[in-house]
Amino acid sequence: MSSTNVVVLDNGGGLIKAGFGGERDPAAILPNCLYRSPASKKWLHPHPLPPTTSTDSAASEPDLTSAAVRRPFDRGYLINSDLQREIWSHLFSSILRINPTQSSLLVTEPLFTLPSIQRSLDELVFEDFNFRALYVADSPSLVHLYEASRRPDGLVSRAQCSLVVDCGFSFTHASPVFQNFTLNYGVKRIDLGGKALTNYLKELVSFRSVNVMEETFLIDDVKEKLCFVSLDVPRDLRLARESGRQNPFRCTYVLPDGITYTRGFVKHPERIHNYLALKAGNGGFPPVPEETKENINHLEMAELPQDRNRVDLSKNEFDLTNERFLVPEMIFHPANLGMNEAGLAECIVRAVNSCHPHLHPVLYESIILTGGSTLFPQFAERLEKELRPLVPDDYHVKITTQEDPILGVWRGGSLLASSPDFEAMCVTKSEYEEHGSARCRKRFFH
Amino acid sequence: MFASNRAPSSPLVTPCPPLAASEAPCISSRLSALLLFTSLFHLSPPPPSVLLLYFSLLQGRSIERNRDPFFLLSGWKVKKEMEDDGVRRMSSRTRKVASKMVAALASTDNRTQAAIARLDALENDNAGFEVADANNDDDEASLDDEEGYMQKKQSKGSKRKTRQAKALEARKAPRTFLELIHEANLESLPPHVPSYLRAAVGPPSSTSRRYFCTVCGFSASYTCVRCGMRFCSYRCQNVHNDTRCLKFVA
Repeated sequence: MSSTNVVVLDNGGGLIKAGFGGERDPAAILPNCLYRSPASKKWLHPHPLPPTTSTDSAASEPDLTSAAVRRPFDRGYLINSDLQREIWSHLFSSILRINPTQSSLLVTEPLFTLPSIQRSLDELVFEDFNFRALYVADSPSLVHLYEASRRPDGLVSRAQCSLVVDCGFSFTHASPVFQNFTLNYGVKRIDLGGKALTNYLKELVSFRSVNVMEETFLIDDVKEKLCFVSLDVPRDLRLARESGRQNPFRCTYVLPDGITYTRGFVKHPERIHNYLALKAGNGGFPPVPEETKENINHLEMAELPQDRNRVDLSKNEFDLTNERFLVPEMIFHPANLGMNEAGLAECIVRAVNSCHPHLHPVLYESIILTGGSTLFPQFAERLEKELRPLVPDDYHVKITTQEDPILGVWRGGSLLASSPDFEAMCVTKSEYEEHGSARCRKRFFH
Repeated sequence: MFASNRAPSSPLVTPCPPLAASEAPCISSRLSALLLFTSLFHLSPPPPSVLLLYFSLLQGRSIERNRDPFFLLSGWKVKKEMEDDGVRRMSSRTRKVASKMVAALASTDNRTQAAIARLDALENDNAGFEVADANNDDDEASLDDEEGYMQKKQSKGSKRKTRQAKALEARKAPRTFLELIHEANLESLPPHVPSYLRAAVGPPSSTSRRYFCTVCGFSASYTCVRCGMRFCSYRCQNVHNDTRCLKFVA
């Protein structure tokens, strides 16, 4: 029926991506939390992120420094459905402006969700919001669907199978997908995601320069702007000790002071990408502007002979050198942090090995990277470099990144929602009321 | 050997406890019980195919205890796979253990305690300070049920929460994911069913790892004797001892 429209909701631990089925981009990308400034006492809804990279006027953004955060998700699963209900009601009424009783909902859920959590989600959808119909999807199959439809003659769509590596906010999954079904038994999970990376960066910065343990949004910004993946860690560590123009990594980030600027920014934005000139061998260094700074001592910020490029303590800024690449290094080697988990390359190998041997070559050749934490520069190169020694010689290794890793799952959902037999696949409210949650869930096969 | 609260009606047959699906059943003892039973009653032992069927069913299902002492021969009630609530009911009373106690119980070693505490700190949302709502509330600011309830209790002006109020708040607070996992009792599923715990990637294949200095981040060679953190030079060791040795644990 053309009168019902489908709301596609990618319910993630960090960001909710919401929009209507059939469109290319979601209407709103909203952080999935409530935050509270230390000054006020009310828990507020954050503003949605601008979907395109448009320069936003700083005045419209609320002040996010030292904001406490409450999330309905814990370790990737929805545990606080009251909080989620508040966030969703704000989303549906003010941002999307839909009437739930006339729409169907397509919502994503992480793999291996516990039955009690599934039940609370069903209750939330049908009893609190009274949607007409519900379809629950899991992220890897949506990503696979989207990628297969983008390249109809590529290997992914011809073989109908791929390995989706999703580095999200709460954890990282390597999931094999075959004929649009996620192979449950082959999914492997690392308990590290964007949240752990941000917390680790907070810890590092707080111990070395300024105490930023409460500034979640700020350090998220730092991580997104400054962190990258290094291709050769010992060499980069050696280079990061250098001083002055020999150090291609050092960048200064200025914290907001609430008066002149409310958001932080990088001090010399032209220097962020200096490290890219380093090749795998010994590359040359690009000319760095005149700066003779001595090595920053951890305790004291040294007084410099030159006026410009001085680290100004009154302005609350801090320097990052090796943290820039040590933080994403955690995904590749969690053991370096002390965690007893294998890294991303091994996770992929284990996921592939738990599938049928005939699928191995196809899976290695169609690895799809998705999720916000894959946006670090040089991520795919490093992953290929780590993965290649672990894979038998006669298999090709090919890693494709999505064009927009954050929206990848949402776009797959939008594609699924606009397919002609979507309505038949949903569970309607009357079926839910008659059969209950558990039997309705069995239709979704995961 | 068999835990049972029903006295067997016949002294020859030992009643069997309900079998958890993943338990390696005491097949040999059951087999011997079966054979003893049939031989004592001068019945021919069941053909091997029946035995095979019986034991394969044992593997996959849980068998409800039956009052019938002849249940081995006359049909048996087989309980289906666990429904949502599971065969085993765990107590839903939340056991309150302080988070540091949990880590302390896990190991008595300073070093492992510090490591565990550090890894747990990576998972929290609000580091550094507790979100202390109930004490600082004003009338217009409360949004949650529990805070409203707290206000009624504190309308007399007392700021201290009574023990009962704390217990009530703890029960109303949403359960963390770890509690839910514990309740779901995932270990009792048969091994072919994938679950959250089995999807974990597991320990790395090689135990070699790089050590980084916790103070400056470069390559570390030395270890603090008290807490086990690494550092790279004498200067970093001084910083470490001044600021953060055993900070997480003490």
